Amino acid sequence: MPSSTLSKTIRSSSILFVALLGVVVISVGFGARGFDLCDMLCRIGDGSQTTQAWTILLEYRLPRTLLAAVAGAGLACAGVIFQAVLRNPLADPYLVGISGGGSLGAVVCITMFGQNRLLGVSSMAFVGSLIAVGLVYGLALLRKGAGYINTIILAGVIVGALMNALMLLIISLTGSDEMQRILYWMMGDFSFADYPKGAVAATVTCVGWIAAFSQANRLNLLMVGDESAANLGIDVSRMRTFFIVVAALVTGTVVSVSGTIGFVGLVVPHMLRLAIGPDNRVLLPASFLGGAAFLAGADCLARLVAYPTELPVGVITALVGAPFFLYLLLRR
Amino acid sequence: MSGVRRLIECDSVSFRYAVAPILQDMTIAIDAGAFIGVVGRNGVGKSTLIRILTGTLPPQRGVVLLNGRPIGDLSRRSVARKLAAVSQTEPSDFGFTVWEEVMLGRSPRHGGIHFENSEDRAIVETALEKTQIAHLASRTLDTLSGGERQRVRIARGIAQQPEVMFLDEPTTHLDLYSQLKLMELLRDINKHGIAVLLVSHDINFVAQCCQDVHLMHNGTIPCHGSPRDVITPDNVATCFRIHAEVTIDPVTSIPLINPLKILNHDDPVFLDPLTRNSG
Repeated sequence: MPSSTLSKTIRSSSILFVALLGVVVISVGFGARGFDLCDMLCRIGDGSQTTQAWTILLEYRLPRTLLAAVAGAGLACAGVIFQAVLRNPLADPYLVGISGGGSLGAVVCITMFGQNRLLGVSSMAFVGSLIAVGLVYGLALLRKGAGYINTIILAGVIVGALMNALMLLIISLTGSDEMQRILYWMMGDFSFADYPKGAVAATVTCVGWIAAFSQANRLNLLMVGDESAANLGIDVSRMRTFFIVVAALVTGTVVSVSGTIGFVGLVVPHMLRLAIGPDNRVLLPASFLGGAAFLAGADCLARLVAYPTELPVGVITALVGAPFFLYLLLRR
Repeated sequence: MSGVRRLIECDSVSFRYAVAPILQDMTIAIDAGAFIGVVGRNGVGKSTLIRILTGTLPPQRGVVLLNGRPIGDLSRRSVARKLAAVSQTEPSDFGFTVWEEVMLGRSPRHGGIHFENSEDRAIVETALEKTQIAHLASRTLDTLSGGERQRVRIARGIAQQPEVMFLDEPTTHLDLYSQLKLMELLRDINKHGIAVLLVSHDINFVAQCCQDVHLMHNGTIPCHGSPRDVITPDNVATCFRIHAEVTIDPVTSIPLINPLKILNHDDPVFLDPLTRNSG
């Protein structure tokens, strides 16, 4: 008789929690001079250079690591949800146009108001994401029935492309001198991390995760097909809307604070599904912790591999994610 | 009035997807313990009938009652505690194991988040044993044959502990051995107090399997009754547009159809009304 789902959840979550803690310690501990966490703590301990060490740890490295972890958690969970709801293992949180909409919002803000208005960039990106999802979902509602899921996917691709085109149009017309900022934004950027941003992203991600996990059985049912799901006791269109709204809010929030980081929402759920199976009661907690560890680790690499130049974190996730994605495609 | 409890009552229901009507004044009832087979040609609306009866498709006219209450007024969850449906196919891209898939049948008994308890596990184990797939418990669905996958869906239906189980074309992709095993399984399910309604184009299977055969034609059920009463050469000609030889097994008195040729539109038998309208 297979082991119980609860023990599977506890086991996988414990392992990933330890992994996440490890990654956080390493990420906070690594700086320009290699792993200097002990050194830092010693300096705080013996009273020399206390303020400076605290500043580096608490105001630079920690918020950044936490923001990366929160973003990873949110993207991975949103990936799990979108893959289940769209019944497509190759779906990712950006499929429904969120990244295009978010980028457009961010670029509008950067080109018009300059890069100092970071709060503005975040909120504009958030609004852009939600407009895109709203458009996609509105289009899908026009065509209910059997083709519904495909409509979401196609509309998502089209709306995403449209948003990207608009974004490039704005960039070309304004001749923005903020190209690097925009480029970094599109590849994901945690260098503007601070606690308020982290707090907002963490709140939305955690609330979204709790909402999704509290309905995890129903997310499982959505994976077996609309009619079977209805016959197993759920109101399919209502549950699907619920999950899409939750995942879109989480993704939109993450995009607004970190830019568009690819592959996390695609690869992390997949890796975990290979390891622990498709049951969302196991997968949602695991993706939360695993996504957090994955992106915090990737950000740590992004900071350090080409020091003093900092890579956009999306470069790292893509370098890890693309080969893995190819492997999945070839394996199918 | 008989003492048998009426589970589902479908009263003069009409339904159309686009222009052409699928169901027209369809009336059908399912009593506790019934074993009903609905036969009809491809595209006559058999699957639609199941969707209407399970409440996943609201009819445009008429009403379906589940235990006396309109099915559309009930939550999907309370419907799923009474009715289980075994569809022809399902997507299986995510790699659920047989055990996990059958465990999904317990969902209507629990809320949004629930980890299976010992009762759920015992029920799933029984369902796996009854359907003889206990040895497949840890296999993923995509490694199973069509017949095995169907047994998984039936096991999931059993785990729902329903009052009625619906099956849509259960003999598709099954060889004769598997068909007989399916028949055995369905009889066993029925014996344990679950009413069964299956729809099929396979008239011989239905004749052999079901006590109560409903012929479906032109969006309604013109006649139903014992296989012997309903499956006559004339009725088969009208509903299936074929000329068939019907022989009655002397021991079981189950009719057996041997299709001979397609009937043309000018063939007189095609215009004949159905010969029997037994109730």
